[in-house]
Parts: sequence; C-alpha cells; structure tokens
Amino acid sequence: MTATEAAKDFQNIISGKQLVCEYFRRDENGNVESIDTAIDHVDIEVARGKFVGIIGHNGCGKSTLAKNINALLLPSEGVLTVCGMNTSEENNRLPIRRKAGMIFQNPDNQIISSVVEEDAAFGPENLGVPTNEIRERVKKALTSVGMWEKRKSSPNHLSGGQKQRVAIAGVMAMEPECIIFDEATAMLDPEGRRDVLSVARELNREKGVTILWITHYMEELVEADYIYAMDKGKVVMQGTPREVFADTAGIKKHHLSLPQITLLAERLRRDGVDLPPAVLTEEELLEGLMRVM
Amino acid sequence: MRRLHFAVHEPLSTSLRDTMSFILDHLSYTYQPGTAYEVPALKDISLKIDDGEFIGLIGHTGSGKSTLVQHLNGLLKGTSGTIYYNGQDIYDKDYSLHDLRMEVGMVFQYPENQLFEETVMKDVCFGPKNQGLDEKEQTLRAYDALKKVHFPDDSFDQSPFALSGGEQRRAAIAGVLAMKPNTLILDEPTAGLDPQGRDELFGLLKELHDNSGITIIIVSHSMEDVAEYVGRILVMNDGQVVFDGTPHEVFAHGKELSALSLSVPAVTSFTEKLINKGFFRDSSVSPAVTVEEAEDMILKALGRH
Amino acid sequence: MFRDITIGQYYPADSLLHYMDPRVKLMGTLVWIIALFVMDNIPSFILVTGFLILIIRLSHVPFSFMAKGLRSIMVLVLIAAIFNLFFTPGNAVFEWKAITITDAGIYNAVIMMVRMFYLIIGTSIMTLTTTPNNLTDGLETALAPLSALHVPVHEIAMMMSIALRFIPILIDETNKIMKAQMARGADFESGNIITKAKNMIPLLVPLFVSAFRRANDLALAMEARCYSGGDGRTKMNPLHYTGNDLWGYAALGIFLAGTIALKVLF
Repeated sequence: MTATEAAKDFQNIISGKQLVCEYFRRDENGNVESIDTAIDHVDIEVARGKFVGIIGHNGCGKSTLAKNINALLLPSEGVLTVCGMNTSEENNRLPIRRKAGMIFQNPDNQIISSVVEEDAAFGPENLGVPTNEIRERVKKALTSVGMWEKRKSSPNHLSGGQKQRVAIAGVMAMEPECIIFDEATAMLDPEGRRDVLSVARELNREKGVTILWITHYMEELVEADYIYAMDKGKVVMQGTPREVFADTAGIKKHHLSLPQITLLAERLRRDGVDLPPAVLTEEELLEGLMRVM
Repeated sequence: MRRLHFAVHEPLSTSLRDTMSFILDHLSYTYQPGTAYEVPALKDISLKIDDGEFIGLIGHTGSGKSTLVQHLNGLLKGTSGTIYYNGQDIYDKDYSLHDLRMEVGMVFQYPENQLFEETVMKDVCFGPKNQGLDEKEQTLRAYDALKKVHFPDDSFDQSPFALSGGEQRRAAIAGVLAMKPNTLILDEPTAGLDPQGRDELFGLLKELHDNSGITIIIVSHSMEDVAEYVGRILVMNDGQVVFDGTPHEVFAHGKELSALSLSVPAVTSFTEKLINKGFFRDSSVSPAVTVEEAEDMILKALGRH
Repeated sequence: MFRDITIGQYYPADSLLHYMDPRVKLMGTLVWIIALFVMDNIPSFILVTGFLILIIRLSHVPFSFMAKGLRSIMVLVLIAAIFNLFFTPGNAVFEWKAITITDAGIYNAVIMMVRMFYLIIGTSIMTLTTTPNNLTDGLETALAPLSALHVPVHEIAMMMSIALRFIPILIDETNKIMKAQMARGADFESGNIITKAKNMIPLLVPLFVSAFRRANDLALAMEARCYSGGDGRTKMNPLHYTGNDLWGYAALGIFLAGTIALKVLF
C-alpha cells in the first residue's frame, strides 16, 4: 500500500473493494442447491463526517451490504475495512461494531430492555464501560436524540419514530464514528420519518458522526453528500444527488423514483421549458420558473 | 332505531337500498369505557359511502382511521350510533355480522403476517372455505383472485413463506379478494414496499376498482400516495372526520392540513406557491394534485399548449 | 382486556420501595408468602394486614391501580371461595334445600380469599415497584452462586428480561392476526375441543413465524450492539446495598418472627 492510499483509507471510514457476498440455498441434505449473489463486486467508499446514501428497491442487496459493514455478515470475496479494520478478521468484529453502529428497520425488534434508559445502556454495558461513565453516556445519548424526558418510559408506550430515536441513542451511547441506518424509516409514518431523518442529520452536522443512510425513498437523500444506487447486487449509479437525479434514464432503468419536484422539473424540461437539469428543491424550481415566465 | 342525521326519516326506500352501501349515523366509539383508561376514539361520525367509490381515508397515527374501518365489517361495535349497510342496521339483533364480513373484505396492515397454509393456493382458499363453498368453487375463486392480483402462475403451489415481500402481500390480498367482497378495505396497503411496489399495488387496486366496480377504501397516512388514484378523500383527526371531498377540494386546505401534521403532495404546495407568486394569469386556478396536472398547468401558463 | 392486568407491570414513582434493592424485595416476597401460610388467627391476621397497608403506603402506587389488576383475577378467587363455602364438611350453620354452609366452610372460604388477595397484592407490589430489568438483575445476583454449578444464570436472566419486553408485543400481534383471520371468516369460538384446536392453526402458525422473525432480528440487533454473553459486562445500575436495604431485611425478619410468635402464642 502506498502512502497516498493509506492516507485515503484513513479519510475513508468505510472502504470496500470488489466485495462479493453470496447466500447458499441448501436442500434437505445440506447440498448447495443454488447460490444467490446478494452483492456482486461492489466498490464503496464513505469519507469521514459525510452523509452518504444507498438507494435501491427491495432485494437489491443494500441491506446485505449494511450487514457486511457491521461485520454481521462477511464478504466471500474482496476486502472491506471499517475505520481501518478489516471486517474479515475475527478480532476486529467487536471494535468494528462499536465504531459503526447500526439501526434496523423494525423499531420493535431492536429494543432489548423494557425501560428506555436501560436500553440505551445496553451497548456500553456490553463493552464493559465503568458504571459512572455509562450514566454520563446514556444521558448524553438520550439528550442528543431528544428522548431524555422519556428515559423512564417503556418502549411500548412510544411511537415508531420515538422508538427509532431510542435505538439511535443506544448506538450513540457506544460513541460510534459512524451509524448505518438500514431502512430505518421504512415502517414509520411521515411524521416519524421526518423526525428520524432530522435526528440523523443533526448528529452528522453537530457531532460529526458519519451517516450511511439506506433507503428506498429518494426524497430523503436530497441533502446527502453522495449517493450509491444499487440494483441486483451491483452499484449501478453513484455521485452527488444532483448527478444521480440528473440521470433520469438510469433512474427509470433501475426502478427508482424521483422526488415529485425533480420529476415535475424533468417533465417540464422535456416539454421544452428552459430549466437546469436535476432540480432538487422547491426553491430552485420556483426560481427557474419565475425566470422563464 | 335512531334517526339519520340527513333527510331519511322514513324507512329506507328500495332505491336508497340499491344505491347506498354504508351510512354511518352518529357513530361513536370509546376504548374501555367507564375506566380510568377511557379513550374516545371516534366522536359522533356521520357519513355516507356510496357503492363503487374509491376512497382514501387519511390521518396521522392515532387519529381513529383504523378504528373507523374496523367498524365497517363489525370487528368493533360502536358505543353509540349505528351503521347501515345496504339499508340494514348492522347492530340489529338478527343481523349476521358473519355475512357482513363476507361482503366487506378487510386487508390489515402487513397482511403477509396472516399467511399460514402450506401453499399460496390453499391459503387463498381459506376465506372461500369459511364461506362454506365446495372445493371446486374454492379453487375457482382462489385462481380468479390470484389472477386479479397478477400473481405469477408458477408460484401458486409454492409455500407462501418462500415468496418475496411484495408477492406475499399480493397473495394475502388475493386471500381477501377470493371471498368476492363488495367492499375492500385496505389498511396501509403499501407500508414497507419500495416505490415500484407501491405504484404496482396502487395500479392494481385502481384496476380492481375500475373493472369489478367494487368499493375500495384505502387507509393511509400519506396523502401523496393516494392523491392520484382516489376520487374522494376523508381526513380524520382526533376521532372526527375533518375534511371530506375530492382531492382538489381537500388539498385546497393546505394550511389546516399541515396544522394536523399531514402534508399535501409536494406538487400541491408547490403550485400553491406559484399561484401566490402570481405565476398564473388566470386567478381561478387551484393547486395541482398530481405531477401531470402541475405539468399541464405550468405549460398552459407559459403558453406552450 | 390484557392491558388491564397489572401483574408484572412497572409503576414509575419515587418511593422508598422503588429505590430498595431488588434482592430485598425478592426476599420480602418469600417472607410474605411464608407469613400468609403461617397466619391462621385474628392477631396474626391483624399483623399481616397492618404490614400490607404499610407496604402499600410506602410504595406510592395508588391502591386503585392495583385493584384494577385484581378485577380479572377476582372472579377466579370468588369461584374457588364459593367451592370452599359449599363443599367443606363441618357443623352446619345454614341449610336451605340442598345447600349447606358449614362453619368450617365459612372459615376456609374467608381465609382462602384473604390469602389469595394478599398474595396477589403483595407480589404485584414487588413488580410494580421494580423495573423488569432490575428484577432480573436481582435474580441474577441472588442466584449467582449457582453459576459455579454451571447453571447459566446470566442467560436465564437475559431471557427473562427479553420475554418481559416482548410479551405485550406478542399479545398485540395475536389480537391483530386474530382479527385478520376473523375478517376471512375464521371462527375461534364454536366447535368441540378438537375443532377448536384445529381452528387455532391460522392463528398459531403466523404467530410462531412472527416470533421467530422477531427473535432473529433481535439476535442481530444485540450482536450489532456488541453483546457477547455475560463475561466482561458492566452495569449502569449495579446492585449495592444501602442502609435502607439493611433496615428492610431487619424489618422483614421482625415481621416474620412476629407472625410466627402470634401463631404460637394464641
């Protein structure tokens, strides 16, 4: 590895090269019946402090990728490093999980304890953090997601969005450098979705936590720094939101959907209205239309 | 029998019986009445749902929308008020709720969670079997229903647990359709699906509505999703119906809706802003509901049509 | 109806009992059960009742809240009491047609009812004032010596706390699936035992599938949060005895001795 490559790896909190991950389907006798390639030679780089999105329809391999990054699954080919640690090495597993926390889709199935603050403490307890420090961390983590007031509540009395915020606090209490949101908003109502996204953005902006945001809602990625689009296990598009949203042919081909405003602007452009490509926000479109009026 | 709040003071005439499917008359429902945990979930709701309507029932979590639809097939019984289905009071002593449930199909949230049989076909037959149909008729109904939801032919005899999420959901919906309901109620039918799955499912429901003429009620917390498809939107808040009208009529109340933490589709609020900025010379235009409409409006204003 | 049951629920409040070490409360529950069975005369009944009132006052949990949870169990206790009332042999104090009530019957019915109610209230005070995790922590620490005998004490405690977390969720889920199948014309009520059991399949299969999926998700989530068994774990709220706890043990000792003394003396 050259010096520049090493420096780049330091900047990159997640770096995967030619990753392959396969699921074996076995018959009753344990013989391999078929092999599903969930991830197919994927290159991915996530720079420290960024908000990076992964988009793709259900079954495109994005969740498998997330589980690889958390060392819950291991690549069958290729090298994946998280915070400079190779995920394939057994000894790196716990350090990786503590640096790169993960939020799952179903809010109910990831809360372990029946009391909010005790759930936030679960991670640090596993890490063997001293008692007094756990209390401090839990307070900090619950405050950062706005759930400190509810610390004594039972998760069963919270809304979906609030449960996801508790789950985020549970990860924050491990003081991670990076949080992977694996379709964390898919089961929430619009209000909960906004809520969780804004908490993630705030952690990214104010605490410098790197965010990997996996979703099938394009509109959640309008403000992302970089987007990877996946289809059939491969990365099929990548770039800034503007670059990705501008590739309407690619979007259509890979069954993704544009946010309504971008779609409207795109249609108007096709009708001959003089608008810039890949309009992302209402303000941009408003400005563009007032100009051509 | 209580009087209906609108002018039906005589026993329902045959013509009314033919044209109406549901009349809710001052319906209220309270969870755990008489205890400290008493929660009024529906407050004095009166409304009429005609045969063959395509309705979006919108509201945020806890607004009472799921509670309301569970009344329509008698899974919950109002604490006061009543419901008439095709002119009959469903709370009458000799009215059969079992028969009502056969006519009013209900697809719950994440309906794939109710699959249980060894094969998709058998699972879809469960409803018709409970209707007391013979085996041949069951299979015919199931086949028909699976076809209607465009379920792939070669998966009819697969285990439902081996299917993808989207296929499971369609199998579950077929399980309700196989009972040949006159009304189909779906609670958040697209929850958890990706945009493609969502569009496919809504397209499918529209097809069902247009081809078989059944009444469809979609319960959702997202207006954007249903705006394109439904003919009427009911907005619920705090156990009451606060808006009732076509998408255009309802979305004209953008401010009030966002006060209920419901958002109108992005194109609606966008075209509203254009109107306020004086983009359209024609001052009578109303905000668009769909992307197509917005496109047409803007092109017309620019003189491109 | 499931939401009404207060047993196993936690009632958040600031009270002496809430802050007491769960081990003291566990011991207290044991002492309480012994005392209830020792109690069989008026003086010991007065002592036990006095102790119960004291505990209820100390817990800061409104009595109405506890009583609400009792309602569903009340029916069972009443049925048992009626059986005792009518079918205990002894000196008849009341006869009417085929019905005979004996003095022993009255005595049995009353003492059984009192015991059952006191038992339920006493144990529910423990769960109402102790968070489930605190309770399992208490069990884990109290049973720790058993791990020398290769009893997986930590794992059992972890399983208990997870079960407590997921029971309400699974009850909700049961209700949902039941409604969904009823909407498809399923019948869970009529028929003999065998048809009834067969009719449960559309409910049980989806419930098991869902429970397994949840277990799988939860295992992943725990792993993602660095869980790797009990070794090397620390606790946010490790159990430490305080002065109050020692007084608690002392009070329990005096109470038990008092109950036994009253039984022996009178």
